[in-house]
Amino acid sequence: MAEDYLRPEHRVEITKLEERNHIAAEKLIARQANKAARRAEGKVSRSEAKRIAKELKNNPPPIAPAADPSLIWKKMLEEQQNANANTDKQ
Amino acid sequence: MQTQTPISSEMQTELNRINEPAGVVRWIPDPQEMLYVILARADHSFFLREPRPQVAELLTPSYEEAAKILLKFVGGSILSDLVKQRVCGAVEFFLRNTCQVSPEAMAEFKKDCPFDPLKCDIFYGLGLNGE
Repeated sequence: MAEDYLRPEHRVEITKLEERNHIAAEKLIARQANKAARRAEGKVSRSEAKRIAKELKNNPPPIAPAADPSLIWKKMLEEQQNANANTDKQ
Repeated sequence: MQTQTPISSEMQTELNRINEPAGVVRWIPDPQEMLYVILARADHSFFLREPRPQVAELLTPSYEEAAKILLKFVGGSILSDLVKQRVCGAVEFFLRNTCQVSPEAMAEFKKDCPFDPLKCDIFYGLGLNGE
């Protein structure tokens, strides 16, 4: 198998990359929190916006889990079947 | 003349997601590992980490329904025969061995499936040298 050709240092590299991705994800959340607060700035007072930004930074919302792919496939399967039925009619 | 039905961008993304680990783009050699990556939406490098995850512990019968839908979806899609063969074959193996689906139930289920990996010959039309 292809993975058997991976040397131990490659595997360590992969683990490091995954860790870096996690940190990048956290940074992204912080940046999004700032953006949300800035957007809200126009509607709420400056101090309130700052408070929201701080709160979001300290307690970032969890990353939403990926949608269940089987639900998406089910929907697309129905689409496929409808398209096929239409083609047959024509 | 055959007309091709237009594909939505959402469906194209979904097909690409299936095509990557099953096809040549990010080929995962073990079919069961490939199936897990597709079903769980895991990264293609998921099984390269140390200690190596065991697919037998991850691919549980809870994925049975999703796997059945995947088989029908891939079977009726515009993906290449090789990808269809790999994905549908992996799903059938999973249903028979992990979910213990009986041969009668399997035959009943396969009546509605547009693609049968056992009947498809991916080498059809190739010469002796594979050209």
